[in-house]
Amino acid sequence: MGGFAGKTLFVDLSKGTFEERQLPDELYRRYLGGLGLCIRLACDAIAPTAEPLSPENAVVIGAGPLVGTDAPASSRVYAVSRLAQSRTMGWCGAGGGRFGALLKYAGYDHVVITGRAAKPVYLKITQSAISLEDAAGLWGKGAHQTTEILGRTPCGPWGVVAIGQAGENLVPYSMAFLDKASTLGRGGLGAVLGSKNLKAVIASGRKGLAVADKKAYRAVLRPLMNSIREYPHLAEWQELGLLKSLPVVEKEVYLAHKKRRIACVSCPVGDKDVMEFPGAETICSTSAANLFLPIIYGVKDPVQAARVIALLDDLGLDLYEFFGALVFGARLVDARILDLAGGPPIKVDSAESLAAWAKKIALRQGAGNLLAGGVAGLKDAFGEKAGDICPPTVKGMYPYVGPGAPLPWNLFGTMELGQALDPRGPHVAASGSPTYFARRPLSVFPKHLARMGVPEEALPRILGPDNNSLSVGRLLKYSHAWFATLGSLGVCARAQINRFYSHKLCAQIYEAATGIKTSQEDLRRRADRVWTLLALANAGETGASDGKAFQPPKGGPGPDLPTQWFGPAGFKNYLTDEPLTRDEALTMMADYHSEQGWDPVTGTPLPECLKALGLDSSGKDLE
Amino acid sequence: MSFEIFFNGPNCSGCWRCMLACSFAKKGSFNPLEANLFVTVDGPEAKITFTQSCDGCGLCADACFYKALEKVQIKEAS
Repeated sequence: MGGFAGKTLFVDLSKGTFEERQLPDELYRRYLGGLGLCIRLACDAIAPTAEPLSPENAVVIGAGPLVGTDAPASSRVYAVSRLAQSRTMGWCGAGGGRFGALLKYAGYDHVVITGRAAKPVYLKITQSAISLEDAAGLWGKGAHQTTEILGRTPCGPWGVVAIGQAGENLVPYSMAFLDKASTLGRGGLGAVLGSKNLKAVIASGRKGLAVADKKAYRAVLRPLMNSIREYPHLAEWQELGLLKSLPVVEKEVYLAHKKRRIACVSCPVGDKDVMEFPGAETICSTSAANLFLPIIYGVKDPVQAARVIALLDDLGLDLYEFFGALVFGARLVDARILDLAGGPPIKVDSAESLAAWAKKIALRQGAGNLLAGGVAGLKDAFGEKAGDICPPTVKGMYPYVGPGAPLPWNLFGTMELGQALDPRGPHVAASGSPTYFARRPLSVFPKHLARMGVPEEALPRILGPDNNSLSVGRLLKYSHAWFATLGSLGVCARAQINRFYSHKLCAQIYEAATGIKTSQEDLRRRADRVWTLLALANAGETGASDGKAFQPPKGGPGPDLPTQWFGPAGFKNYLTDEPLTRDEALTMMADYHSEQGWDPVTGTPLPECLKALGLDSSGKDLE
Repeated sequence: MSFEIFFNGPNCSGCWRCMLACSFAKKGSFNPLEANLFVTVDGPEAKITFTQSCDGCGLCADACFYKALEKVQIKEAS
């Protein structure tokens, strides 16, 4: 097969052993690769009873068949594990930097990591040797500092996945960072890696990556390249990155400090930065929109704001959960519920306060140990006393899109509903859905839905027989399938790039690159298998794909949807702009499950659905 | 018409598209470290090296979306 490196590496940290396996071709075909195969391998490696921070949990890291090729923005890296915050088996995705490509050039598509090392180590992967190296000298260092040190390892270049002090100290909202510029692991992947005493994974190699049919590959890619070159907003995206859609700081301020645009391997629309600040201080940002986020909370000086985020990144903290916890913490202090035990006042508009608490949280010092529990941890500790001042949580995480959140988009589209229905919990993954942009007219939806691979027969269920209504729940089913498709191939899911891809194109590129015969129908079925397997993996543990069994519309207490989502200050219906009601949201959830072929009430995949996808009720392959 | 390849370092994003295109065309597989050019981006610094095997075909510049590599026409003596 082309596109794939061909081997999967199994690492047992407890025993210090490695095993290379060539997976059956059939497994690649059934699960596409990348995210899809990460989910399959994680289901096989993680027992339903495995606790997130136990040696029994596994971390599967993988890159799809297009990673390492020149297909635009095909550098995506995924990790799947039982996550610390949601306790669900969830995916973590990163732009990929160069780690994914270098992992493949070393000869591996996936790495399955189990066990727990007796002392801090890092995993070194090359085409000629695998080793666990002593990380004693790295333990206690930040993710960025660790990446800089390991990046200087001879015989590079190296792709580096590293955790900071927050991961070492098992902070539930710690992340891993990939090549300094990509986050991997909202939901606590950092803590999972920390629990394994695994400080970093580095990869380098110079094995070539072939495609199955060069001529067909080139022919499919040519119009895609042309459409990107001709895109009238390309230069603007390249100049501003995510600031184009999230202008948290004035363009002039950003450009005054921006030294270089950084792109993941093969990406024509890079959105990472090298920024320079007074004193020749250089900061590598995951995106400018993130870098200046403290401005939203009232930090006035953009340089100070950027320094806070650089610190959070180095410590390896999820910045959105950090701000949620601090806002909640400040409210608890004001209500005389939380005692900061001599710590400095919590002021989210003060860079000094933010920096002080970031360190205390990552190192679990003083009241920082309480704040390290995140919003859900504080709720557990003080929720009964806190009452109305509790911020929202979904699956133990702070939903950072929505009313009262740092990204206050208030129209309830697929991404917003997806915060409750993705087993992983709240995240931002638009997946090409037209509702990512506010108030798009319904007349343009069919074009976007066709691009995402929605079959024609589903259109009346999503848009009504006269194209004048919208079922967000049913649309989300296809949005998740599109996301699973892109993720399994290795293509970035960000709106500014996936707009150039279509489902038809993905089927063609996949076939040309891998040599695996693939129609659009094949691609749909495989993506559905991937997502249904993920739902099954979580249904066994929790009773439903959303983390807990929920009740049908208008009946019973229903799932744990935040009360803040409803009412005059809550979400609005995407079409009518009327306040979203709880019953509407519950109907959307039931619609989503029905469209998937899952039980509308419990979200458990139904036997007919499993049979059609070739899975048994425990998630094993039938074919 | 002949041209030279011009490297505009500040524009380079480190995306490796140039090396990917070169290795695919010249070596038959995607293998940036075996390409006839090598680009390194280290913070504000960017460097490019062409190997002796480079035939100046310009595919690297064609693959660049950031105008970091451009084909500049050379005026030929009449």
